[in-house]
Amino acid sequence: MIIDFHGHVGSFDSIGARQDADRILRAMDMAQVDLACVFNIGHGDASKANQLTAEFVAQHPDRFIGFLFVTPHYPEEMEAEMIRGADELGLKGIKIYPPYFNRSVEDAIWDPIFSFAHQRKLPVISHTDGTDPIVNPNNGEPQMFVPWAKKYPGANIVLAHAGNFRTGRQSCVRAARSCPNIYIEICTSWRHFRSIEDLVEGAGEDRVLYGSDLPLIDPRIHTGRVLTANISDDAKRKILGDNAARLLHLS
Amino acid sequence: MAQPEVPVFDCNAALGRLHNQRVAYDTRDDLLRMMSESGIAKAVVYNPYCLHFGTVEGNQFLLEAIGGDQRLIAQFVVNFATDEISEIDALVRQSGIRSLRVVPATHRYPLVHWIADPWLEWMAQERMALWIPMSMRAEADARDLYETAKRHPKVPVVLAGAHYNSYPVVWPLVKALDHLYVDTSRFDLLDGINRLLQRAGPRRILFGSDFPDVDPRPYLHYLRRCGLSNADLEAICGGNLQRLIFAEG
Ligand SMILES: [Zn+2]
Repeated sequence: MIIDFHGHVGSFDSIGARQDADRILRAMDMAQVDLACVFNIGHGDASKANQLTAEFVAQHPDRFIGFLFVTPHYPEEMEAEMIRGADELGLKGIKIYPPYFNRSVEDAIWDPIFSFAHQRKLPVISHTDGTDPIVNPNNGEPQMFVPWAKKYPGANIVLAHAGNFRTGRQSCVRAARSCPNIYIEICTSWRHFRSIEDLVEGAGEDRVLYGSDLPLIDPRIHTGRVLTANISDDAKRKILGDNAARLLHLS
Repeated sequence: MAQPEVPVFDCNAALGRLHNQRVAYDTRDDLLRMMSESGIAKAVVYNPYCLHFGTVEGNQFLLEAIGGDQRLIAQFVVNFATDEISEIDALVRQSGIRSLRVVPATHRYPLVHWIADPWLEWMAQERMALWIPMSMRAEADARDLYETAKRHPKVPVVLAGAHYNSYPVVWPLVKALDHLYVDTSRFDLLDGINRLLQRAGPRRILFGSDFPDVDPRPYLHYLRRCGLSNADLEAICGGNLQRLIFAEG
């Protein structure tokens, strides 16, 4: 089974990514992806975002798994919305995006989210980026997730884009090696040589997850990164689905 | 379902070191090994020294680096604003160069007709094609590119490294001018190949690797799973570039 751990509900029109479930499903079929995790991060109103995610998933419940989202700009709404998202809407993980919200990962504002994920044993996926945190303090430098992972060991923290660049990948590997509940998701528009091999060698094949960033990026490109990598078939199976199934409590 | 192997001709590879960072794969052997591991038979190659320092020197370094290997097709980088056509013309003839690359933003000039016209008139005569990087950092303002390219319909223009960040510029441009081509090396958009096919037809899409920054194997994996006809797959993987560079096919 192939599980895509990173997909968006909603449109990004200015970069050519309009929400189109049929087009997404066609690409998933061609990539032989069975399930995709999706979230909506575009709304200032998290309840609206989560509603849209749940409605999108409800149209194809056999193909999509919804993740919830909450905005740090309305901390007073966070807890109730997380409970509603998980219990009423059936959302199975949490997405955060520090650069969109101009908040550093180190900000205490995220505490209730990691705490909720810890209590409910949910994965939290966050945008990450390996650029210098002094220059870009809100970009999601991978090391910044380590204190959260140690404080909330029940929360499985997924570093999206594997830090995007080489330095970011190395930082993701260090983070994963220091915490058993940190995972690394691979999608990025940077498809460097040996990126998958380096993640597997550094963090281990149990800690790497396939993701595509659909509908921005075609899922065939990132399944292709895993399938063409010089790693064992067993490692490919784990990255493409088995690891995700474990985090989503599907196996 | 995956499609069979077709000859692959890469439209976008760089060969050589950079001054400001270590380049992981910077030799001819690295490039040839990547090509052989990826099933790429030939590649159009430029030297990145030309981007920040001298074009004439950098193009010479490129020829030395290629060392006469027939699998590597040299592409010269020129500066429309400061190079002299007469000087480049002699080198182009000597070396059998079939395409040029310009980087107006990096070379700090606008791609306007009163700078580019003499070059493009000469290129039309010589049946040469022009590459302009439109990756995350577009090398030309879209208005300048449109106005200038429109005046020279006989010079094919390849939008190299078109990234989804440049989509709002690339998408209307390929519709507005039918002698613009898209290099796929960074065109990762969901269902992007089929959407490009609908937008521009099969003859204006070129496979590119963006070596040494990008591993081309995943994209070739993707291209073979787009449900393309064999004719379209062959055109995108190499036939179109062959026609563009060698006026064949
Ligand atoms: Zn994303």
